[in-house]
Amino acid sequence: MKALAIIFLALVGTLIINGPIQSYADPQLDALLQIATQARENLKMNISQINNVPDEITRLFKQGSDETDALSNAIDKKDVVSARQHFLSAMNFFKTTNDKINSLNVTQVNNQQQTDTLQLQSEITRLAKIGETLKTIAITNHASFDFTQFDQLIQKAKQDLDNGNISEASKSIEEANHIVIDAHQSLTNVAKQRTPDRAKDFTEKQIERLDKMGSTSTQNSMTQAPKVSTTSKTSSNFTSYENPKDTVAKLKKLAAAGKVDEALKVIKSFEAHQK
Amino acid sequence: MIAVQEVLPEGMLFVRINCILTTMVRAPVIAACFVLLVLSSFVQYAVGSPKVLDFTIYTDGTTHVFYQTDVDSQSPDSALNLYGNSIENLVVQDENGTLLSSRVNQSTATVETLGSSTIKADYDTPDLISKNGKTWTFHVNSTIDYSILLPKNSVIVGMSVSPLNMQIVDDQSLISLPSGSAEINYIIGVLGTSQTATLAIQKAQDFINTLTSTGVKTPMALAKLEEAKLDFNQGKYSDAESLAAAAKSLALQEQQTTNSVSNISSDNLPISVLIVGGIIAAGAAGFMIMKRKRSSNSITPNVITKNNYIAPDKETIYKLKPELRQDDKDIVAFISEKGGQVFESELRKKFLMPRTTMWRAVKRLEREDVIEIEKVDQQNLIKLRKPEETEK
Repeated sequence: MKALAIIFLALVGTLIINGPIQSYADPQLDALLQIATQARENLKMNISQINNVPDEITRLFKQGSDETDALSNAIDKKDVVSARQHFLSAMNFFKTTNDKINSLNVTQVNNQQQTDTLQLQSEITRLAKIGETLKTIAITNHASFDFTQFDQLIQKAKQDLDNGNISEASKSIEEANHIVIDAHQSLTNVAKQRTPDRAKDFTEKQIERLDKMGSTSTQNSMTQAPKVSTTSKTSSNFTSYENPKDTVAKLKKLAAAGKVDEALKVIKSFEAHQK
Repeated sequence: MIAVQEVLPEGMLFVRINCILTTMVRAPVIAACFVLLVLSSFVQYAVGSPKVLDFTIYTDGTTHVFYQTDVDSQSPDSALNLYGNSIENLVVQDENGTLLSSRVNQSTATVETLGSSTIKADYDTPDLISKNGKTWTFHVNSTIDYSILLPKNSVIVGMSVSPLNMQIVDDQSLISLPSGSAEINYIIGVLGTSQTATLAIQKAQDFINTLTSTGVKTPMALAKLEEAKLDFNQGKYSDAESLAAAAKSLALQEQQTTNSVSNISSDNLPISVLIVGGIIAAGAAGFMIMKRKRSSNSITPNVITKNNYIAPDKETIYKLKPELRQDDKDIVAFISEKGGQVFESELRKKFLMPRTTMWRAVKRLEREDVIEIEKVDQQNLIKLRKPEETEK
């Protein structure tokens, strides 16, 4: 009877511990094939644009391609371990192939305008996202910062980019970037200004908590007096305010004197000792 | 019936009762196990999911990091390890969205949590990405599972770990990776798919059609567009995409040329007035250029002679700063070639980078003590620092 219960509990325990690990361990096999196939297609296209392809590149690419096929077969057989091995191997061959292509230095003349456009599009997306985050923070924290000009600049930059006016788009992005910097600074200042009030509230709450802790420990010490005394004797490095009661007294003194920073240090030290 | 009851021995009844009793005792154990199993899933969810780490990679090599974690609500502050040394736009909020004050020291931020139980940090860093030729490499070592959102038009060409998952979100690859060290190599904008090439050709065609309908002639743009179509038919999608974009910009140029010509012809001013006006304008422009040249001539040499500036060797800088990104090394090489100092505008011209991107690169090099920035005639003069200064 007891043995059965123990076995049951052991089984449940194993399930609890191993359940999530197993579910995380299986990668989505389709994702592996998708990544490897994309890499293969891209390199195939790059190689097709090279005039005299060195044998080494052809060989490396073929090895990577074969590994991708093997990955596909492993996925069909639902062989996770093998699929993973073939994926890593394929990606390793593709990386080496890509490095070799890079070293050939036969990169085609890039369309500079296209590169600029891509970069600026990315800048706009990045700035717009930062702007949205800062806007949300400003609203939540009741901080007044006008983002109207920022929105206009982002819109203008998008339009300029659509019309192929890269220099104008670049200017608008730069201005928008300055606004983001200003907004960030402004919000940082707001956070700093509010910190003393938050620190005061926190100190008061901690005093309340430690006060409760102190009264509980007093009750405990009355029933378990020898245990308390042993603890305080053995830990010679502890400060006098390791005891919640002493800490509360010290904190109250510091809070009354407006020395919140010092009170926070005391709380931190107390918490460190508690751990 | 009566006979049967009489035949049944009493012991049989005992056995049955025993069995019922055993089952009754086991039932709560089994029930408790099931309850434990159900609860465990909630506990695992609560314990296992407080940490979130997301990386968003941008085309210019900047990574946006979002990190969420639980903190000790009884402690007044909490230390947060940051990914990268150059941290920009750091904002930390608590579970209610309240902005928290923080101090950054290299790759650690001390956040004044003051009772918060969860913190959410957002920041940008250029330190997680390096570039070699056309290939970008993202490298990170994380203690928890994380996700990476790659830029649009990017293709992974190398990966050191098996991903947990991958999905496409708004034409971008979102990859989930397990904890540990990982390296992802990718290329941006190289793969010309038939879809992107078709789109580019369609856009250029539409633009040219619009101009033609308003009477603007675009022979050069049309020729370029034909080239794009030819490449597309041959399966060279990447080239076709580039040519289509070039056709569109040519069409724009042709439109501007037509407009300027029509503006001049629409003016009914006599030719003599135009000639006189032109001479005056040219004279004024010449005077302005001369004046500017003189002023710039008088400033630049002064800077060099005043500081007795000797250009440091780029190789020495590379040796002292081996961790520099390849694109930063290119900038250092260019400054070195130009005698150790250049205006920021020259750098932008050379590397054809947007102002903000170049400014970030310059600030990065300044942080690394590789260069110093000096204001000269309202322009930024970028100077390589001497090796001994760099070493400090």
